[in-house]
Amino acid sequence: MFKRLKTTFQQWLSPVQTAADELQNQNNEVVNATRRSFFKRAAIGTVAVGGTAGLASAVVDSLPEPDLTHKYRKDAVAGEQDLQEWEYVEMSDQEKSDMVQTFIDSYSRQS
Amino acid sequence: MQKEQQQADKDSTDGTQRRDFLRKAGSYTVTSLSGAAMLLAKPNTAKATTKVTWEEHFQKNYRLMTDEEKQEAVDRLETRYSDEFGKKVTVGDTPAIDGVLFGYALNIQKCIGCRRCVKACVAENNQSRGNEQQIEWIRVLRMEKGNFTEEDRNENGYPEDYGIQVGGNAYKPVGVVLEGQHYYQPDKVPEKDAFYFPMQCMQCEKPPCVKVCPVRTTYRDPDGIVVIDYNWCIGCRMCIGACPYWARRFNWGEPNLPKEEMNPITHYLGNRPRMKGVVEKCTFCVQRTRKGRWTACVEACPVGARKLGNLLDPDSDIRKVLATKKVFRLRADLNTYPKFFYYMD
Repeated sequence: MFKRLKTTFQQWLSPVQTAADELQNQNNEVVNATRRSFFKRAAIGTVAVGGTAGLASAVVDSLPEPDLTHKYRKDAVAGEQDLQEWEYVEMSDQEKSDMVQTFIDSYSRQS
Repeated sequence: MQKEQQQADKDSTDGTQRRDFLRKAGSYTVTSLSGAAMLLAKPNTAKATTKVTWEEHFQKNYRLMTDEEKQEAVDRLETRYSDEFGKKVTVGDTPAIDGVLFGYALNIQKCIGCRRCVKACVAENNQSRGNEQQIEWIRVLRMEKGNFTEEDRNENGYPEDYGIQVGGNAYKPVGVVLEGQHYYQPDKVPEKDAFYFPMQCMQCEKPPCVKVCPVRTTYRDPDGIVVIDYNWCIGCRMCIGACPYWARRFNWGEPNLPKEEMNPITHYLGNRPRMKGVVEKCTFCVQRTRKGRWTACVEACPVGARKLGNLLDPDSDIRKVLATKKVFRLRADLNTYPKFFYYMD
Protein backbone atom coordinates (compact mmCIF):
# COMPACT_ATOMS: atom_id res chain seq x y z
CA MET A 1 0.00 0.00 0.00
CA PHE A 2 2.69 2.40 1.11
CA LYS A 3 4.95 1.36 -1.77
CA ARG A 4 2.24 1.99 -4.32
CA LEU A 5 1.50 5.37 -2.92
CA LYS A 6 5.19 6.31 -3.11
CA THR A 7 5.41 5.25 -6.76
CA THR A 8 2.35 7.27 -7.65
CA PHE A 9 3.74 10.31 -5.94
CA GLN A 10 7.05 9.94 -7.75
CA GLN A 11 5.25 9.64 -11.06
CA TRP A 12 3.26 12.76 -10.29
CA LEU A 13 6.43 14.61 -9.28
CA SER A 14 8.72 13.43 -12.07
CA PRO A 15 8.01 16.19 -14.65
CA VAL A 16 8.87 18.85 -12.09
CA GLN A 17 12.05 17.05 -11.05
CA THR A 18 13.18 16.60 -14.63
CA ALA A 19 12.74 20.27 -15.36
CA ALA A 20 14.66 21.20 -12.22
CA ASP A 21 17.48 18.81 -13.08
CA GLU A 22 17.71 20.20 -16.58
CA LEU A 23 17.88 23.73 -15.28
CA GLN A 24 20.58 22.73 -12.78
CA ASN A 25 22.61 21.06 -15.52
CA GLN A 26 22.34 24.09 -17.75
CA ASN A 27 23.50 26.34 -14.94
CA ASN A 28 26.44 24.06 -14.22
CA GLU A 29 27.46 24.11 -17.85
CA VAL A 30 27.28 27.89 -17.96
CA VAL A 31 29.33 28.15 -14.78
CA ASN A 32 31.85 25.63 -16.03
CA ALA A 33 32.11 27.35 -19.39
CA THR A 34 32.59 30.77 -17.75
CA ARG A 35 35.25 29.49 -15.38
CA ARG A 36 37.07 27.65 -18.14
CA SER A 37 37.14 30.70 -20.38
CA PHE A 38 38.32 32.85 -17.50
CA PHE A 39 41.24 30.53 -16.78
CA LYS A 40 41.99 30.30 -20.46
CA ARG A 41 42.08 34.04 -20.84
CA ALA A 42 44.10 34.46 -17.67
CA ALA A 43 46.67 31.92 -18.86
CA ILE A 44 46.95 33.51 -22.29
CA GLY A 45 47.18 36.98 -20.72
CA THR A 46 49.92 35.91 -18.33
CA VAL A 47 51.95 34.31 -21.06
CA ALA A 48 51.41 37.31 -23.33
CA VAL A 49 52.47 39.84 -20.70
CA GLY A 50 55.45 37.81 -19.58
CA GLY A 51 56.38 37.15 -23.16
CA THR A 52 56.11 40.79 -24.11
CA ALA A 53 58.46 41.66 -21.28
CA GLY A 54 60.80 38.93 -22.43
CA LEU A 55 60.56 40.16 -25.99
CA ALA A 56 61.33 43.71 -24.92
CA SER A 57 64.26 42.47 -22.87
CA ALA A 58 65.54 40.42 -25.81
CA VAL A 59 65.25 43.41 -28.14
CA VAL A 60 67.00 45.72 -25.69
CA ASP A 61 69.77 43.18 -25.10
CA SER A 62 70.27 42.75 -28.81
CA LEU A 63 70.74 46.50 -29.36
CA PRO A 64 74.33 47.64 -29.76
CA GLU A 65 75.99 48.77 -26.52
CA PRO A 66 75.97 52.55 -26.04
CA ASP A 67 79.27 54.31 -26.47
CA LEU A 68 80.17 54.68 -22.81
CA THR A 69 83.55 56.18 -23.57
CA HIS A 70 81.84 59.06 -25.30
CA LYS A 71 79.51 59.63 -22.37
CA TYR A 72 82.23 59.56 -19.72
CA ARG A 73 84.45 61.76 -21.88
CA LYS A 74 81.62 64.18 -22.53
CA ASP A 75 81.22 64.69 -18.80
CA ALA A 76 84.92 65.34 -18.39
CA VAL A 77 85.17 67.72 -21.34
CA ALA A 78 82.15 69.70 -20.25
CA GLY A 79 83.75 70.00 -16.84
CA GLU A 80 86.99 71.14 -18.36
CA GLN A 81 85.26 73.87 -20.32
CA ASP A 82 83.58 74.98 -17.14
CA LEU A 83 86.86 75.05 -15.25
CA GLN A 84 88.45 77.28 -17.86
CA GLU A 85 86.08 80.06 -16.95
CA TRP A 86 87.01 80.09 -13.30
CA GLU A 87 89.09 82.44 -11.33
CA TYR A 88 90.90 81.97 -8.10
CA VAL A 89 91.77 84.79 -5.79
CA GLU A 90 94.04 85.17 -2.84
CA MET A 91 92.34 85.53 0.51
CA SER A 92 93.29 88.38 2.78
CA ASP A 93 94.11 87.66 6.42
CA GLN A 94 90.76 89.09 7.41
CA GLU A 95 88.95 86.86 4.96
CA LYS A 96 90.79 83.82 6.23
CA SER A 97 90.04 84.48 9.87
CA ASP A 98 86.42 85.32 9.06
CA MET A 99 86.04 82.09 7.17
CA VAL A 100 87.50 79.98 9.96
CA GLN A 101 85.23 81.74 12.42
CA THR A 102 82.26 81.01 10.17
CA PHE A 103 83.15 77.32 10.20
CA ILE A 104 83.52 77.26 13.98
CA ASP A 105 80.25 79.12 14.53
CA SER A 106 78.43 76.88 12.11
CA TYR A 107 79.72 73.79 13.86
CA SER A 108 78.78 75.15 17.28
CA ARG A 109 75.25 75.88 16.09
CA GLN A 110 74.80 72.37 14.80
CA SER A 111 76.17 70.55 17.83
CA MET B 1 13.10 37.82 -49.45
CA GLN B 2 13.72 34.61 -47.57
CA LYS B 3 16.79 33.95 -49.72
CA GLU B 4 18.21 37.39 -48.94
CA GLN B 5 17.73 36.76 -45.26
CA GLN B 6 19.50 33.42 -45.52
CA GLN B 7 22.36 35.03 -47.44
CA ALA B 8 22.69 37.73 -44.79
CA ASP B 9 22.74 35.11 -42.05
CA LYS B 10 25.40 33.18 -43.93
CA ASP B 11 27.52 36.33 -44.38
CA SER B 12 27.14 37.10 -40.73
CA THR B 13 28.26 33.59 -39.80
CA ASP B 14 31.26 33.85 -42.14
CA GLY B 15 32.20 37.19 -40.61
CA THR B 16 32.12 35.77 -37.13
CA GLN B 17 34.19 32.81 -38.16
CA ARG B 18 36.76 35.04 -39.86
CA ARG B 19 36.96 37.27 -36.83
CA ASP B 20 37.33 34.27 -34.56
CA PHE B 21 39.98 32.85 -36.79
CA LEU B 22 41.94 36.11 -36.86
CA ARG B 23 41.61 36.54 -33.14
CA LYS B 24 42.83 33.04 -32.43
CA ALA B 25 45.63 33.34 -34.94
CA GLY B 26 46.70 36.62 -33.32
CA SER B 27 46.64 35.11 -29.86
CA TYR B 28 48.65 32.10 -30.92
CA THR B 29 51.17 34.29 -32.74
CA VAL B 30 51.67 36.54 -29.72
CA THR B 31 51.94 33.56 -27.43
CA SER B 32 54.45 31.82 -29.67
CA LEU B 33 56.54 34.95 -30.08
CA SER B 34 56.40 35.58 -26.39
CA GLY B 35 57.53 32.10 -25.58
CA ALA B 36 60.37 32.38 -28.03
CA ALA B 37 61.38 35.73 -26.63
CA MET B 38 61.34 34.40 -23.09
CA LEU B 39 63.61 31.61 -24.17
CA LEU B 40 65.92 34.05 -25.92
CA ALA B 41 66.04 36.53 -23.06
CA LYS B 42 69.06 35.42 -21.09
CA PRO B 43 69.75 36.95 -17.69
CA ASN B 44 72.78 39.19 -17.52
CA THR B 45 74.63 37.68 -14.63
CA ALA B 46 77.51 40.10 -14.88
CA LYS B 47 75.51 42.94 -13.37
CA ALA B 48 76.47 43.82 -9.82
CA THR B 49 72.84 44.49 -9.02
CA THR B 50 71.70 40.98 -9.94
CA LYS B 51 71.84 39.81 -6.37
CA VAL B 52 70.19 42.83 -4.82
CA THR B 53 67.57 41.57 -2.42
CA TRP B 54 64.05 42.83 -1.98
CA GLU B 55 64.98 44.26 1.41
CA GLU B 56 67.91 46.20 0.00
CA HIS B 57 65.88 47.53 -2.88
CA PHE B 58 63.25 48.93 -0.58
CA GLN B 59 65.38 50.01 2.34
CA LYS B 60 65.02 53.45 3.90
CA ASN B 61 67.17 56.46 3.35
CA TYR B 62 70.28 55.91 5.46
CA ARG B 63 69.69 58.98 7.56
CA LEU B 64 66.23 57.79 8.55
CA MET B 65 67.30 54.30 9.55
CA THR B 66 67.42 53.18 13.14
CA ASP B 67 70.66 51.65 14.41
CA GLU B 68 69.19 48.17 13.94
CA GLU B 69 68.17 48.95 10.36
CA LYS B 70 71.62 50.35 9.62
CA GLN B 71 73.19 47.19 10.94
CA GLU B 72 70.86 45.06 8.81
CA ALA B 73 71.70 47.12 5.72
CA VAL B 74 75.42 46.78 6.40
CA ASP B 75 75.11 43.03 6.96
CA ARG B 76 73.19 42.62 3.70
CA LEU B 77 75.82 44.54 1.77
CA GLU B 78 78.71 42.65 3.34
CA THR B 79 77.12 39.36 2.37
CA ARG B 80 76.40 40.50 -1.18
CA TYR B 81 79.80 42.11 -1.80
CA SER B 82 81.66 39.15 -0.30
CA ASP B 83 79.71 36.87 -2.61
CA GLU B 84 80.24 39.04 -5.68
CA PHE B 85 83.92 39.75 -5.21
CA GLY B 86 84.94 36.41 -3.77
CA LYS B 87 86.62 37.84 -0.68
CA LYS B 88 85.65 39.02 2.77
CA VAL B 89 84.33 42.57 2.35
CA THR B 90 83.58 44.81 5.31
CA VAL B 91 81.17 47.75 5.10
CA GLY B 92 81.75 50.25 7.89
CA ASP B 93 79.22 52.74 9.17
CA THR B 94 81.50 54.76 11.44
CA PRO B 95 79.77 58.05 12.21
CA ALA B 96 81.40 61.48 12.25
CA ILE B 97 83.82 62.07 15.10
CA ASP B 98 82.67 64.65 17.64
CA GLY B 99 84.62 67.89 17.62
CA VAL B 100 86.07 67.35 14.16
CA LEU B 101 85.44 69.45 11.05
CA PHE B 102 87.65 68.31 8.22
CA GLY B 103 89.54 70.80 6.10
CA TYR B 104 92.05 70.23 3.33
CA ALA B 105 94.89 72.31 1.97
CA LEU B 106 97.00 71.75 -1.11
CA ASN B 107 100.30 73.43 -1.85
CA ILE B 108 100.24 74.25 -5.55
CA GLN B 109 103.90 75.23 -5.44
CA LYS B 110 104.87 71.76 -4.38
CA CYS B 111 102.58 69.70 -6.59
CA ILE B 112 104.56 68.12 -9.43
CA GLY B 113 101.59 66.78 -11.37
CA CYS B 114 102.61 63.15 -11.06
CA ARG B 115 99.00 62.02 -10.58
CA ARG B 116 99.96 59.51 -7.90
CA CYS B 117 97.11 60.90 -5.82
CA VAL B 118 94.69 60.10 -8.65
CA LYS B 119 95.86 56.50 -8.88
CA ALA B 120 95.83 56.04 -5.10
CA CYS B 121 92.32 57.46 -4.94
CA VAL B 122 91.06 55.14 -7.67
CA ALA B 123 92.53 52.10 -5.92
CA GLU B 124 91.36 53.07 -2.44
CA ASN B 125 87.87 54.12 -3.37
CA ASN B 126 86.91 51.33 -5.77
CA GLN B 127 86.36 53.62 -8.72
CA SER B 128 85.47 52.27 -12.12
CA ARG B 129 88.56 51.77 -14.26
CA GLY B 130 89.53 50.99 -17.80
CA ASN B 131 89.60 53.10 -20.92
CA GLU B 132 85.91 52.83 -21.58
CA GLN B 133 84.39 53.88 -18.28
CA GLN B 134 87.06 55.52 -16.23
CA ILE B 135 86.04 57.51 -13.20
CA GLU B 136 88.53 59.64 -11.29
CA TRP B 137 87.49 61.71 -8.34
CA ILE B 138 90.66 63.82 -8.55
CA ARG B 139 91.37 65.82 -11.68
CA VAL B 140 94.80 67.41 -12.14
CA LEU B 141 94.93 70.48 -14.35
CA ARG B 142 98.17 71.63 -15.93
CA MET B 143 98.53 75.41 -16.16
CA GLU B 144 101.00 78.03 -17.25
CA LYS B 145 102.72 79.83 -14.42
CA GLY B 146 101.39 83.30 -13.67
CA ASN B 147 101.16 85.97 -11.03
CA PHE B 148 98.30 86.40 -8.65
CA THR B 149 98.48 88.70 -5.69
CA GLU B 150 96.15 90.42 -3.35
CA GLU B 151 97.52 93.77 -4.55
CA ASP B 152 96.48 92.98 -8.09
CA ARG B 153 93.00 92.36 -6.95
CA ASN B 154 92.79 95.48 -4.81
CA GLU B 155 94.44 97.78 -7.34
CA ASN B 156 93.11 96.43 -10.58
CA GLY B 157 90.19 94.40 -9.51
CA TYR B 158 87.34 96.74 -10.36
CA PRO B 159 86.29 98.33 -13.60
CA GLU B 160 86.91 102.05 -13.93
CA ASP B 161 83.29 102.98 -14.21
CA TYR B 162 81.34 101.67 -11.29
CA GLY B 163 77.86 100.50 -12.13
CA ILE B 164 78.70 99.32 -15.60
CA GLN B 165 78.12 95.64 -15.87
CA VAL B 166 81.22 93.87 -17.01
CA GLY B 167 80.86 90.15 -17.50
CA GLY B 168 77.73 90.22 -15.44
CA ASN B 169 79.29 91.74 -12.32
CA ALA B 170 80.80 95.18 -11.99
CA TYR B 171 82.55 94.23 -8.76
CA LYS B 172 84.09 91.04 -9.96
CA PRO B 173 87.59 90.76 -8.50
CA VAL B 174 90.39 90.10 -10.86
CA GLY B 175 92.10 86.75 -10.53
CA VAL B 176 93.78 84.14 -12.60
CA VAL B 177 91.62 82.32 -15.05
CA LEU B 178 92.16 78.59 -15.08
CA GLU B 179 93.19 77.62 -18.55
CA GLY B 180 94.34 74.18 -17.79
CA GLN B 181 94.76 70.93 -19.60
CA HIS B 182 93.11 67.99 -18.03
CA TYR B 183 94.68 65.17 -20.01
CA TYR B 184 98.26 66.32 -20.25
CA GLN B 185 100.81 63.75 -21.35
CA PRO B 186 104.34 65.07 -20.74
CA ASP B 187 107.44 62.93 -20.93
CA LYS B 188 108.22 63.81 -17.36
CA VAL B 189 106.91 66.02 -14.59
CA PRO B 190 107.21 68.69 -13.37
CA GLU B 191 107.46 70.65 -16.59
CA LYS B 192 109.17 73.99 -16.86
CA ASP B 193 106.84 76.99 -16.68
CA ALA B 194 103.90 74.87 -15.65
CA PHE B 195 102.18 74.24 -12.41
CA TYR B 196 99.54 71.73 -11.51
CA PHE B 197 96.18 72.20 -9.99
CA PRO B 198 94.56 69.06 -8.54
CA MET B 199 90.84 69.38 -8.05
CA GLN B 200 88.31 67.27 -6.21
CA CYS B 201 85.21 67.71 -4.09
CA MET B 202 85.61 70.84 -1.98
CA GLN B 203 83.27 69.55 0.76
CA CYS B 204 81.49 72.90 0.77
CA GLU B 205 80.05 74.15 4.00
CA LYS B 206 77.02 75.28 2.00
CA PRO B 207 76.94 72.66 -0.73
CA PRO B 208 74.71 73.45 -3.71
CA CYS B 209 74.61 69.77 -4.64
CA VAL B 210 72.84 68.98 -1.39
CA LYS B 211 70.27 71.70 -1.97
CA VAL B 212 69.20 70.37 -5.34
CA CYS B 213 69.01 66.66 -4.56
CA PRO B 214 65.32 65.75 -4.98
CA VAL B 215 65.54 62.61 -2.83
CA ARG B 216 67.96 63.95 -0.23
CA THR B 217 70.34 61.14 -0.82
CA THR B 218 73.32 63.43 -0.60
CA TYR B 219 73.86 65.41 2.55
CA ARG B 220 76.50 67.00 4.71
CA ASP B 221 77.60 65.06 7.77
CA PRO B 222 78.57 66.87 11.00
CA ASP B 223 82.29 66.50 10.24
CA GLY B 224 81.76 68.55 7.10
CA ILE B 225 81.98 65.70 4.61
CA VAL B 226 79.30 65.63 1.94
CA VAL B 227 78.26 62.01 1.51
CA ILE B 228 75.92 60.03 -0.74
CA ASP B 229 73.61 57.13 0.09
CA TYR B 230 74.04 55.29 -3.21
CA ASN B 231 70.97 53.15 -2.63
CA TRP B 232 68.74 56.19 -2.73
CA CYS B 233 70.38 57.96 -5.65
CA ILE B 234 67.98 58.07 -8.60
CA GLY B 235 70.63 59.22 -11.08
CA CYS B 236 68.91 62.47 -11.99
CA ARG B 237 72.31 64.26 -12.23
CA MET B 238 70.91 67.42 -10.65
CA CYS B 239 73.84 67.50 -8.24
CA ILE B 240 76.29 67.27 -11.13
CA GLY B 241 74.72 70.31 -12.70
CA ALA B 242 74.69 72.19 -9.40
CA CYS B 243 78.29 71.51 -8.38
CA PRO B 244 80.36 74.53 -9.40
CA TYR B 245 83.59 72.56 -9.03
CA TRP B 246 82.61 69.73 -11.33
CA ALA B 247 83.54 67.24 -8.64
CA ARG B 248 80.83 64.65 -9.14
CA ARG B 249 80.97 61.69 -11.47
CA PHE B 250 78.18 59.61 -12.95
CA ASN B 251 78.20 55.87 -13.60
CA TRP B 252 76.86 55.67 -17.15
CA GLY B 253 77.45 51.93 -17.22
CA GLU B 254 78.08 49.14 -14.77
CA PRO B 255 81.33 50.13 -13.03
CA ASN B 256 84.31 48.10 -14.10
CA LEU B 257 85.88 46.97 -10.84
CA PRO B 258 88.04 43.85 -11.17
CA LYS B 259 87.61 41.45 -8.26
CA GLU B 260 91.31 41.21 -7.54
CA GLU B 261 91.69 45.01 -7.40
CA MET B 262 88.71 45.67 -5.17
CA ASN B 263 89.50 47.27 -1.81
CA PRO B 264 87.53 45.17 0.69
CA ILE B 265 87.61 47.71 3.51
CA THR B 266 84.72 49.98 2.70
CA HIS B 267 82.29 52.45 4.22
CA TYR B 268 78.55 52.59 3.53
CA LEU B 269 78.76 56.28 2.61
CA GLY B 270 82.14 56.08 0.97
CA ASN B 271 84.03 53.60 -1.12
CA ARG B 272 81.68 50.63 -1.25
CA PRO B 273 81.10 49.42 -4.82
CA ARG B 274 78.63 51.59 -6.70
CA MET B 275 76.10 50.56 -9.30
CA LYS B 276 75.08 51.83 -12.71
CA GLY B 277 73.12 55.06 -12.68
CA VAL B 278 74.41 56.60 -9.46
CA VAL B 279 76.60 59.59 -8.74
CA GLU B 280 79.82 59.44 -6.76
CA LYS B 281 82.55 61.78 -5.56
CA CYS B 282 85.41 62.30 -3.12
CA THR B 283 84.51 61.74 0.53
CA PHE B 284 87.91 62.59 2.05
CA CYS B 285 88.29 58.78 2.34
CA VAL B 286 85.59 58.61 4.98
CA GLN B 287 86.47 54.96 5.62
CA ARG B 288 89.93 56.08 6.71
CA THR B 289 89.58 59.55 8.18
CA ARG B 290 86.83 58.59 10.61
CA LYS B 291 89.24 56.07 12.04
CA GLY B 292 92.02 58.60 12.44
CA ARG B 293 93.94 57.78 9.26
CA TRP B 294 95.08 60.03 6.44
CA THR B 295 93.32 60.03 3.11
CA ALA B 296 94.86 57.90 0.36
CA CYS B 297 95.90 61.01 -1.61
CA VAL B 298 97.68 62.53 1.39
CA GLU B 299 99.56 59.27 1.93
CA ALA B 300 100.46 58.89 -1.74
CA CYS B 301 101.70 62.42 -2.40
CA PRO B 302 105.50 62.12 -2.81
CA VAL B 303 106.17 65.80 -2.12
CA GLY B 304 103.89 66.39 0.87
CA ALA B 305 101.75 68.91 -0.96
CA ARG B 306 98.53 67.76 0.67
CA LYS B 307 97.41 68.55 4.21
CA LEU B 308 94.32 67.32 6.01
CA GLY B 309 93.27 68.52 9.42
CA ASN B 310 90.64 69.59 11.87
CA LEU B 311 89.45 73.12 11.27
CA LEU B 312 88.23 73.35 14.85
CA ASP B 313 91.69 72.64 16.24
CA PRO B 314 93.93 75.75 16.29
CA ASP B 315 97.04 73.55 16.37
CA SER B 316 96.13 71.47 13.32
CA ASP B 317 98.07 71.61 10.06
CA ILE B 318 95.16 73.11 8.21
CA ARG B 319 94.74 75.97 10.68
CA LYS B 320 98.46 76.67 10.56
CA VAL B 321 98.33 76.83 6.80
CA LEU B 322 95.38 79.20 6.92
CA ALA B 323 97.14 81.38 9.45
CA THR B 324 100.53 81.62 7.84
CA LYS B 325 100.33 80.94 4.10
CA LYS B 326 99.00 82.62 1.00
CA VAL B 327 95.69 80.94 0.56
CA PHE B 328 93.46 80.88 -2.52
CA ARG B 329 89.87 80.00 -3.00
CA LEU B 330 88.07 78.90 -6.13
CA ARG B 331 84.85 80.61 -7.07
CA ALA B 332 84.72 82.61 -3.88
CA ASP B 333 81.88 84.60 -5.41
CA LEU B 334 79.51 81.66 -5.05
CA ASN B 335 79.66 81.66 -1.25
CA THR B 336 79.67 77.90 -1.04
CA TYR B 337 82.41 78.08 1.62
CA PRO B 338 84.60 75.29 0.30
CA LYS B 339 86.75 73.56 2.92
CA PHE B 340 89.43 72.77 0.37
CA PHE B 341 92.11 75.45 0.11
CA TYR B 342 95.03 76.04 -2.21
CA TYR B 343 98.09 77.67 -0.80
CA MET B 344 101.65 78.79 -1.50
CA ASP B 345 104.62 79.09 0.82
